[in-house]
Amino acid sequence: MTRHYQLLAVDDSAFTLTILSTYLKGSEFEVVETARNGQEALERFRQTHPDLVLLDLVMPGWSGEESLQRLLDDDPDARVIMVSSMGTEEAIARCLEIGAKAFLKKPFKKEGLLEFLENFVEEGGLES
Amino acid sequence: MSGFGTFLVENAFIDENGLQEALREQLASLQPLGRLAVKEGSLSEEQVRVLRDCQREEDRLLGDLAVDRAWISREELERLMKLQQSRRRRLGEILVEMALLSQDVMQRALSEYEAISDLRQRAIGKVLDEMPRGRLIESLIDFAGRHLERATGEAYSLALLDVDPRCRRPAAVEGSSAVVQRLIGAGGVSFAFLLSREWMEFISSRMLEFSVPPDEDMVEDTVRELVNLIVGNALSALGPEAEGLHSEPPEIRPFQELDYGQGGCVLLEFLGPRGVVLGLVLFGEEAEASTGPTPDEGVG
Repeated sequence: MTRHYQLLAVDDSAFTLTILSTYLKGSEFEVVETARNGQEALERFRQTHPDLVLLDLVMPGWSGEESLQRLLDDDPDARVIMVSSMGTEEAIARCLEIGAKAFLKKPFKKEGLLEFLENFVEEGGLES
Repeated sequence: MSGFGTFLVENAFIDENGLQEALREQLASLQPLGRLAVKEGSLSEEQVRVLRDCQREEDRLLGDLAVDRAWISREELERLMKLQQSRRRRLGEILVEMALLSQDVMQRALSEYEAISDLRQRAIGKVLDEMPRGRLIESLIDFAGRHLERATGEAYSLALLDVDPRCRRPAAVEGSSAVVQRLIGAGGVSFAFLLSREWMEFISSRMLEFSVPPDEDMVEDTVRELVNLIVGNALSALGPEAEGLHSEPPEIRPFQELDYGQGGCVLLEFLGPRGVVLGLVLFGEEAEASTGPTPDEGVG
């Protein structure tokens, strides 16, 4: 039986949250919770303990990097993928150094998103 | 409106009413998508009949209904729409047929237009080469075209590109909103699309792939995300050259309130099947203002 993964999607853009939920609906990856900023993300993370967090890089309030750090402080085993349209090498390197598992660059299509997540799982991204 | 059409009106070859009439004729000359899809072997005649029946019940485009049913892919729909555009009749030919211009005058006007366009492109290239953030502006223009096509699934051509140091406000967009994002720092610029409410709703529906009927907030959020993608990708593409620039979140303002500051602007005109989308890249003091936010509030 195919394993199902529960995702928390964090983005200040309602559009992006809708697209993520829609694209992943019916797949093995399900967006079970969403948050519009870092504080909300930490609350939802503590409530739902998702398998994976998709975290926007730059948001008002806590930045993506700060949110990433706080999530990992709260749970060092948290698996977080950063998502952004601004994927400069510098930004990617900083996030990976803090502890993000991967970086997903916007924009993406449905097939591209699913392929990215499937590869992430296959390559052991969800293993401790 | 088109680049050549605007030139003809501005130089009194034809009047605005004549242009509008010719543009309507040009739009009518587009081969219906269903017929084109059958000819290209993308859909069967029976499938097109079914889709046309559905259109009577739902106010949707035939291509979108076909994608929903997985009869064609979104990529195939984009290819068909580009093909449809490339086969539409030329504006000059229509004007001659409508007897609004003689063949000789049309040819002369076209030659003048092409010569001016060529000069303008070279002048713009020179200006961009000399500007400290010329490559950033080119990158913004490039991604603006790419993302507009990707968002709407329609083909656009950059019909006019103008550098206007006097910051002339294009009159055609009164009533539109500016979806604008600023990049702050030395040589900073702002990018804006100038969109009517109808355009915003259309873009939003397309970007959401009709997954939910967009309400007003979602419509605005979607077009902000479109601009965010353009600015974010343009900045990424520059690599180390983009160092020292950070962005404000995109916002929507009435066009009249767009602050041109003391700088200049590059005016972009993307011509597509539904008309023209105007874009602006603003530079100068306004974009370089040091009162911007912290880097934390940058591109998402």
